[in-house]
Amino acid sequence: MGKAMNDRQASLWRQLAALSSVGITMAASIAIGAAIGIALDRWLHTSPWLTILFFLFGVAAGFVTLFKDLRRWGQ
Amino acid sequence: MTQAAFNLIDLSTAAPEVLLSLVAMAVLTLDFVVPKGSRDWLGHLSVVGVMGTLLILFRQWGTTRTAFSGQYLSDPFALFFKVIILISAALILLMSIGYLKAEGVDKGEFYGLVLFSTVGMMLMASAVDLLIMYVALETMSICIYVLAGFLKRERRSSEAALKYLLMGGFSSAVILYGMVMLYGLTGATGLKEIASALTADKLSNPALILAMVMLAAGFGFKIAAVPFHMYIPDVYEGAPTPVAALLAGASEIAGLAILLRVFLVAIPGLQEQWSVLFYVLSLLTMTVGNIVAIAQSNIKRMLAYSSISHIGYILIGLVAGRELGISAAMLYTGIYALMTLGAFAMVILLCVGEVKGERIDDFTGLAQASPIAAAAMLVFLLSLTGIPPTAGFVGKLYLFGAAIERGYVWLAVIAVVNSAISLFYYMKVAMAMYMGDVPQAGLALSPSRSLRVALSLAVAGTLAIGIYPGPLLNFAKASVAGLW
Repeated sequence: MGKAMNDRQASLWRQLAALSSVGITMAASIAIGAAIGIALDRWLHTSPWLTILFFLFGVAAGFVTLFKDLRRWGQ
Repeated sequence: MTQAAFNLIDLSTAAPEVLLSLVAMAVLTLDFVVPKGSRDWLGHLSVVGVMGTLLILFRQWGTTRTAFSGQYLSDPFALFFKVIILISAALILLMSIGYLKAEGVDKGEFYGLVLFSTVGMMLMASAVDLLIMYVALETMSICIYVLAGFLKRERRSSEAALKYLLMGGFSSAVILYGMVMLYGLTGATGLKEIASALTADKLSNPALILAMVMLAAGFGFKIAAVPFHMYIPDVYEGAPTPVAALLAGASEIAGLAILLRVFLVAIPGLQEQWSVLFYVLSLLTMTVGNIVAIAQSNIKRMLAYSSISHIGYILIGLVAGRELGISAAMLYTGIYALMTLGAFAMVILLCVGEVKGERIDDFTGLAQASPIAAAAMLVFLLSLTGIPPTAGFVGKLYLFGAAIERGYVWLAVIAVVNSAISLFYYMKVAMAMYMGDVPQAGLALSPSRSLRVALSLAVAGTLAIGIYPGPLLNFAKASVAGLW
């Protein structure tokens, strides 16, 4: 019984740790997308089109990872 | 910002919202008094409240008034969206009464929450200040988070609520980022003030571009545009069917109202940039929505993808811009709400006992069991595809016509191809209804009378607009005129 309790608690902590990374992933994907866009725009002189595009990709990537995390968590 | 002062004139300008809030509070309170088993009475009261609000709203026809230090605007644009939202809310409440009985849920707060979320949506349509806009958005969202998890016994309902809550929270954060950047750049929260503070040198500021994309992404989530749509099918499938209808037929429409207002009023200077952005979003949204819908066997998931694709069509209007494009988008919004709610009402009609009416197979043989019900579903399916003489055809005609007139011929061509693709999965349901035989266990329909009222109204509306679209079209055109 004690062991089962410990296991359950450990898995709860594991889940919480996984969920806490969600915010960081979200922010990081947006930042990386924006950085790539700005860099490409500077290089190719296409401002602001690639910034818009990659920034949008960044936000979308953030949402997709969040959603995948949620699905995994749901199981 | 001027000193905020409270006065009665402001309250009378916001009378529709005030009345509906009062009704919602009354419903919540009466829930404690009404004896168990007769809570559907509260549902009827809520419908009466919504209709009363609609009547009061019509007193504001053709007028433009501001209230609460210019943060709230009651203009024809807001009126148009509020009319759609209130009619949707009334239909959803009528559907819910029978559904809650069939699911064995005897709780009056369901109606209260639907009413409060409707108040939030109405405020969204009237908000002309970033702060009140955000508050309104959250008022709506928080109620829907609770509603999505209303069937506590069902695991997938709780899962849908959790998914929607977390995704909604993140999207709100993204919207807030966009708003903060706009405020940082202009020092104003009012939409008109933002527009006038954005001088030519500020328009090329990369931070403004980021703010624009943040807002597009955040609102894109609320209206379920691709690539921010992943949560929609899961949430629609898991949430109680009337709540899925609320998401598709009301909350997305309020999201569209706010999106149109922000982009057209606050940052019209960036139109060149955002019309390209929405061009891409529109293309992706309709194509992905239609193609993925083909593979669905659950009708709620299919309707989820179908609603995604319709949002893609509506965005064409925003890309086309000007009065022509925006009024076509608004016309389509109203038509979309009506036909989608009708389709959801049909799902509820088939939700009896163990059969949930959620699989496309559940519709097999409906034409033999009940020719009238099958004909009603056929009307919605034809309208969703865009075949005359239904409302969907009229909506698409004006929308694609606007795109062609403004030079977006390719977008219109792709939209027409998409409509053809959609015929395939809509007709899959029609085939099941008309070609299949009634299963041996029989096909039972929900006995709810209010659901039948909702269905008849939706069918009548879909056919009436299809045959005589003039009044609604003129209403949409008149509503856009004063927006700029």
